[in-house]
Amino acid sequence: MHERKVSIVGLGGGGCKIVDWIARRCTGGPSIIAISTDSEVLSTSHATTKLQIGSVRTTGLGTGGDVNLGRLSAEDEIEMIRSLFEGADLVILVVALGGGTGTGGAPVVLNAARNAGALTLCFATLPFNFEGQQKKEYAEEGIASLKDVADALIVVPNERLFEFIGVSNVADSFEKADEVISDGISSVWKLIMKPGFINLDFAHLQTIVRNGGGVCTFGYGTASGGGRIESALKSLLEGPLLEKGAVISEARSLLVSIAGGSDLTLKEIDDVMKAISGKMQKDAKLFMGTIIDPDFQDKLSITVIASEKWSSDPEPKPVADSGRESETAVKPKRGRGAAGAKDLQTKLKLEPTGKGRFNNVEPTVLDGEDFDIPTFIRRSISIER
Amino acid sequence: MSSVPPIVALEIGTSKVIAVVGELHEGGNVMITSMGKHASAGVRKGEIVDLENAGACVRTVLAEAEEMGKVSIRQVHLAISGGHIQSLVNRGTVPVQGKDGEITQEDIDQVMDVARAVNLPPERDVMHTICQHFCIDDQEMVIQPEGMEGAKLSLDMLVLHGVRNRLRNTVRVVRSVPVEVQDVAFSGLCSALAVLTPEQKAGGAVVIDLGGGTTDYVAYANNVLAAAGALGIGGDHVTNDIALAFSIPISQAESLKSESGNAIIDSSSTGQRITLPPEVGFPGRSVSLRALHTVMNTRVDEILRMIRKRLMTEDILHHVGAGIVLTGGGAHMKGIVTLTEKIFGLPCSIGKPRGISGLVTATDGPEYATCIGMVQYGFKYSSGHRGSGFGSMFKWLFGK
Repeated sequence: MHERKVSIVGLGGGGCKIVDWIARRCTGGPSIIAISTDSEVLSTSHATTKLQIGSVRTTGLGTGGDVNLGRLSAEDEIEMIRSLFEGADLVILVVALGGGTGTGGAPVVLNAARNAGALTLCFATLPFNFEGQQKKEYAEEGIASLKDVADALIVVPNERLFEFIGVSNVADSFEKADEVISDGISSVWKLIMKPGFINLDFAHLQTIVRNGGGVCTFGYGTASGGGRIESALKSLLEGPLLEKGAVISEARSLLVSIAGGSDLTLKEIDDVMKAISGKMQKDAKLFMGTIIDPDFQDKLSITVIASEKWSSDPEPKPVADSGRESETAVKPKRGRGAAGAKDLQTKLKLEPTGKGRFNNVEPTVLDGEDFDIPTFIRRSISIER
Repeated sequence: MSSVPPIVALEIGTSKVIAVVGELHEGGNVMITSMGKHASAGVRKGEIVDLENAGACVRTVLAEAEEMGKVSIRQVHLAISGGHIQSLVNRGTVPVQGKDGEITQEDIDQVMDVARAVNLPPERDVMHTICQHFCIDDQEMVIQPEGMEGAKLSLDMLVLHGVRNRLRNTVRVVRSVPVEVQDVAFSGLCSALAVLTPEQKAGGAVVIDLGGGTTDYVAYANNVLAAAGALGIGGDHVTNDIALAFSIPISQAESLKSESGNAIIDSSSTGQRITLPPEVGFPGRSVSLRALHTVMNTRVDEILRMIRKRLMTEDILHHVGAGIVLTGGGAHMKGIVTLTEKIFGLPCSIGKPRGISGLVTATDGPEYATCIGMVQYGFKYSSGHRGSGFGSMFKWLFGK
């Protein structure tokens, strides 16, 4: 089997922090890319590839929460971003919605990844309630736009991490939240990419997402040593990520991944699946897979991806019969390939082209050409960066 | 000390504000006694976008020049540029009134008035009117018609014009300092005055002033000013292109341009990379030298070809025997002479202000040509010689 190439991309301050966690732990794993408008964020990042965007617009200081500026900054670098995804099979975008770069840039980055021929999975965190109403609104708008461009979207409200985190200071809270999410992301990545004795692939993930009307959430429980099954299940089913198991009982479809070392037993898998299926609806769809990872020796972690109904979402589609399912499962939500590329091309023409410092001044138009746009762009001369 | 008061030339450029103080010495030699220079603010493409900031820069520069020359500056000669400045040739014709068809000074004065009366769009004003050639009946290219015979006398007048409000805004900045504006002139014209020799004017030459925000050009053919104008494209565009191409801050792009830039792509740059060290607000990275030169080459090539195209449509290039002279900060760019020669197929050189003394070392560079030319212009044309030469319309235009 051909070794699939995965890129995990952190976008914006929040996204970069999360991928930083992953970068520090999964050495030798997927390629980790950090994209930000804020040069400070990048300078401390452990990502293998770093890209500063919008440096002309923001002079490297970030967007200050301006979603539009975030979008424009990403659009300026669209070619550069796309080149990062050259040859990638799966792009996992991690973004903390509510900020300027993340919220504004995420659809642009996802589009670039799709255009480079990669499947896209987007992990989006929603801001804590205490971060204010405006951030929350930006985040909701962000979800709406991401649903259209991501092949799969997994949403994690930070608020749900509260109990997980327990009582601690603010810095620790964010740190802990990042840790939980990065664990979740790594387990999803491993689930799809690493061999186990029961395999799951991206098509399964997409099925879950489709049944959820485009949005999913994830739950995570881990434990080690004796009684690890009980503890892991307890933190998963009674933890806040899945609203104390409420998400599971309402989900139309579920994907369960169990990761363990070589000491993982069938009995343990059976226990986990029994506990989960006992909670879910009788007609809901369930997929499961296992990962055997030497890192998980004496340890066990359970990751659940569940379709979730969001207030703004339409009624989830009824689960199709299994025959049709397998057929549609491999097909992404939207046409890609030639149609997708064409889509982006026409769109690019309509978007404002980067003019840098001449953006807000009267253009120099001679013979119907805007001379403020760099010559190499107008003449389509490719520049090695 | 000479009897003529010194002239202070001021240029509010897109990248720099420069003031030069010059005295007229015997033999028409101009001596530069003092100068001031400061990075510009509030100017884009040669036009004022922020009166207050631009005013503050002018104040700093004039104070510097006052300090250095131990003079007090009350009035300046102002050089103006901007992509809106254009030229056209207007022909005026009058019947000869003199006895026996002999052309008199009166006929000449009259044809000048007619040739100057050009119809411009309402938002535009005349900056300069410059006599080119007379024509008596069907005899073209007459230089001095007085005393000659003919039935009708025509005159071709090169008219430089610009958008009134933009011209006035530049004057407004200086008045806010407050300093009086004695005269204004198109900066490209000043540069040409400073760098061209009489032989070059006679042989035909084009002066291209590569500024930060604008590129001015002035063409001499057959000893007269044949065409002039400005493009709202300049060194800032080169810098901006570099910044966008490599996603680096403008300041980094600027130093890349001046330290490693080249207007031509040569094989020696292949495979080389330049490391940009990290600094505050910039994580540091490396760029391909060849890519940098490609970005610069495409832009500069385009600017020069644009000027070539304009001169071609006016059929001037065939009369340019003495070649191209480059001035302005952009003339420092590596490879610019080679590129210009390639595009125009004419010899090219870097213009240096001539016919001056005094602070020569400080004002030797091509970026001072405009101001030094303005000082020379001031001594030559501002002291009562109206009607001939460059006939600035300033007093009429701006009132006094």
